[in-house]
Amino acid sequence: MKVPYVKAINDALKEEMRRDGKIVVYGEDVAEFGGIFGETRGLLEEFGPKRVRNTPIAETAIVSSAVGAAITGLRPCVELMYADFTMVAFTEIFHLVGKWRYMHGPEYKLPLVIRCASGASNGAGSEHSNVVESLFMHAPGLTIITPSCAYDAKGLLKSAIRSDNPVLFCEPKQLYQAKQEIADDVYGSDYTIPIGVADVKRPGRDVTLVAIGLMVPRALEAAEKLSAEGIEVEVIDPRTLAPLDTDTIYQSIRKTHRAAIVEESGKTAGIGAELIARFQEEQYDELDGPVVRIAALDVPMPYNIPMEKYAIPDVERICASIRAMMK
Amino acid sequence: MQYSKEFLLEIHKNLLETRLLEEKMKDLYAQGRVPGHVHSGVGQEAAYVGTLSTRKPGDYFKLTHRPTAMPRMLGTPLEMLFGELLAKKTGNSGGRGGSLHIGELRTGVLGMSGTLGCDAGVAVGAALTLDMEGRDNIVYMFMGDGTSSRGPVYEAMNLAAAWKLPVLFVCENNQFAISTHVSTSIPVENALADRAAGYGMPARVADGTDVLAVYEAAKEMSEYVRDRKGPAVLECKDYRWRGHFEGDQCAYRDGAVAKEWMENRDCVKNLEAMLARQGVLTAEEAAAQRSAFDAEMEAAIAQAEAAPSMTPDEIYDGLYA
Amino acid sequence: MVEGTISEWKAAEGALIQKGDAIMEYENEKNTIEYESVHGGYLHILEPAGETVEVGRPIAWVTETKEEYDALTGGGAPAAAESAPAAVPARQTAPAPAEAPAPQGRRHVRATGLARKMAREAVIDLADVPAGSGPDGRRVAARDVTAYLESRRAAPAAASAVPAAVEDEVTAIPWTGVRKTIARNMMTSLQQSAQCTAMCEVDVTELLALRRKLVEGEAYLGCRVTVNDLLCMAVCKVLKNHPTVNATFDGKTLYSHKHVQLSLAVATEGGLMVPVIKNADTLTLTELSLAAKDLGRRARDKALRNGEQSCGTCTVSNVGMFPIDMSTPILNPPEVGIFGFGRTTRKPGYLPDGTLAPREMMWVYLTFDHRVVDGLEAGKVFKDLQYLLEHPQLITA
Repeated sequence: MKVPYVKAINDALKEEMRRDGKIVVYGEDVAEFGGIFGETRGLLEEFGPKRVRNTPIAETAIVSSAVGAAITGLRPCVELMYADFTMVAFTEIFHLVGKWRYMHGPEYKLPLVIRCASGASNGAGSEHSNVVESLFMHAPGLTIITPSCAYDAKGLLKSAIRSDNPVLFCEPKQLYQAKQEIADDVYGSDYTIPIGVADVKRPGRDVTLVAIGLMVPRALEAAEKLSAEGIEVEVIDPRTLAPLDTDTIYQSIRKTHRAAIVEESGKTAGIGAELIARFQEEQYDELDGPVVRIAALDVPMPYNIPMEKYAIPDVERICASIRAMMK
Repeated sequence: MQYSKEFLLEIHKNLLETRLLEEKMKDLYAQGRVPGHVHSGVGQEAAYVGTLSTRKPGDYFKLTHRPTAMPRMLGTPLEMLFGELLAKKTGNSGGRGGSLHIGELRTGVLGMSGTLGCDAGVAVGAALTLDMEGRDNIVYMFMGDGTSSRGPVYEAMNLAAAWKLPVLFVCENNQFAISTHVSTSIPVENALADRAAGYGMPARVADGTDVLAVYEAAKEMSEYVRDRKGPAVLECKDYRWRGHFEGDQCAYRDGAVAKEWMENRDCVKNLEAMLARQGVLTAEEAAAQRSAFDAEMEAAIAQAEAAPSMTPDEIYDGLYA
Repeated sequence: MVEGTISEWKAAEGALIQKGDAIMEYENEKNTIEYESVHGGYLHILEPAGETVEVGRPIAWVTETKEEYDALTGGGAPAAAESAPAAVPARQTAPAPAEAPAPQGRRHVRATGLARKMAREAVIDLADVPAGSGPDGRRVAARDVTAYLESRRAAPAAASAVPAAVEDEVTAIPWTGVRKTIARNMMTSLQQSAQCTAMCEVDVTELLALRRKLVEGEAYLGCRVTVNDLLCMAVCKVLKNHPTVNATFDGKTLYSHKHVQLSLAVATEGGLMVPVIKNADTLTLTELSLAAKDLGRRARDKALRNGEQSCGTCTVSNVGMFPIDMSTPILNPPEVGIFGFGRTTRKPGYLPDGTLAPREMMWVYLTFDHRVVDGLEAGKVFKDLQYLLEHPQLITA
């Protein structure tokens, strides 16, 4: 069947809540409204008001209470709506979620998931369009997941909910309505996808293109075009940004000897900055040219939609960057 | 209120031991035996001991960095407490957290955030667990007057009230946020109690140097919470005898005022005088208790000092489950 | 043209020049050329006369106004290392970035990590690999190393492509030690200099006659003078008149020597040795003869001392004992010349009076580095050498 990304999220939540009564879902507008993107639709009806709760607009309390609930036995899966609002609760995520176990002792477990909708989405403006993974990659103790398709979204969210480690789960808004063909028996099979394992979305021999979130489908489209020009691009989706599956990426680099990163976040100190640093430290001898970052422009996301589109890498920009590096 | 002799001796024991521990920690620090910092809570013991005397098994506690010794009253062994203070493997987190981050889930101590007030929501989350599990326990959420000004505290209080969760918010008002006096930073008489109405919570203000007065106010508020009527506020007024941390010379405040508090409002001295008057505890018995506990502490410190420290190959241990 | 040498500035520093003025003269590989300014203004010279400058590096600025000139020269003129993409960029105000001139010593090779690894593993010097990658084509990438390695493989493979008629037997001889050093030196020499060999046949009848007389006086002289001693003596005399051949060259600078440090190519069982007769031009014939004998013997006995094979300024290679008329000897870098002498053959020759007579003829040849020694100079050398050998009394004069 054709599965929209948002349905995969919704189904993962429902399936896990049916499986485990310790799971609670709360956040702003997740109950009757069913989430502003429809991602929690039907949860209140099925699981009732104790397990599915609206919160006040109070991101710090949503996150810190999830820590308290998690260490005392619940498995909260909370929502911060826009990824931008993680910054309201930056201290809570950085200090409490990431460090509470390490600094209090090994009997502490934090089986909690913080979901957020990230990235630009047609004129949402500069405080509703951010991509935040790179901000939190700096925080020890966090697991950060960004799925790029419905299949991955469902399997990874289920793994995130089952993990005893805290997970920041980023869902690219522009993908919510993207549909993926998944066989019915596979989709309904209670499959999970392991955390920390990258996926080679398309094999290729000439250049390794690490693509994240919304950029994965664009990278695949670019790879198709470049293939016609004789450049075979290997597209790798890390899926989990922390911990990062460098093995899969390095294996690819050892094959292609060239690498690029495409991300929806801003270029400066973005995800690519970290990846490049690691590549040159650990794979210097394998690289046959500079690693290239293809990223959003370092501007507050403009409200003007053509400018918003211009600010984010598109298929043409990806193609042009790869062509230039393969010259 | 009438108290049994056992109750009075128990509350005295906890008060005295907390005092002795706080003094011991500052002495250890002065001797250069503590790797980090010590935030002494000498003089503030009654607010905690009185409140925590209303606890029941299964309750949760979000303590603060002052008094550092409070987990002891709730069941943390002395070796573990000193182990953490001295950054040894025998400490709660093996020396990874330190005295600002002491937690022990076995005894219900949830842990602490070094960024004050961010952990108010942790208490609310623990209360959510109690609510979901249908337990009749409550969560004690302690904070100081300084922390009472932080936004996360109000988000947490608002959420607890909105969801009617069993949290007793306790403000131990020692009048100073490091060097800043409440009179210049908090626009109401009672830092947290006066703000409780904004969340529809009842509040009581108690003399934080009178352990029985604290106990009585805490009893009333904790029973309100335990009866599932919603969260409530207790504020205990006392005075921070020492600096914010050891080494702080307190040049920002009037020494005469501090002296007045220390001489006339000493919660341990005043309780012992009352117990002596009532014939519950003689001065000799109190002195014997002191030396016995001192020996217990010295043994625990010796054990902690002899304990191994974490090694570089263990530095990542505990980061992930 | 990849570089040129400024031979003369015809306009002075700070001079007001007109568009079209010949302001400078430079030399390239073939000519001396006058440079006409394409802009008028005030001249600020960056590279003085005598400098050799690669194409693309600024050698001067021309400002439109005196104020600009003053600002340029007074307020911190741009360093010569900064560069722009023209031989003489006029009115440059913002030099474009380009590779800084190579520092003395080992040149930094721009190469990728993978290229470096491949070079390490193939035991090749990355500096030898022609660069062809990167945005400006000046970076060595993996494909450049691969191409280089393939080209090296291809050459010997072609030479050995001979069909085997009989069953062959192969003995593997590890080429190590001195042999390996000789092999590398030979290869390096041919790869890194522009070698050219010239030759002429000389009548040495008189020379051999002189030599016979000298041998007769062996007891008096205290040594038995050889033909080679006389040839070496002649070479020293010639070199004194041709300092650009008695010289060493490092690719940037030609070092001409006052005295002749004469390298002798000595064939030994252990391989070719090249001991040096120090200040050979200052020695008498007998001194030279004794020194040559001593060095030759010790070379064959592997008894040469440290330093006795270095710092030569020109080499003599004599193959007269073999039936070889001539060869093309390989330069002994950083020297720029090596003289060779073939066997002597009796041939009919015309005497000055037109009569035919048997003459002793010898091929004399010289390999020289055409980067520094041009054909004219080589011709003059041969002219002098031939005259000396045919008038041997001048050799000892």
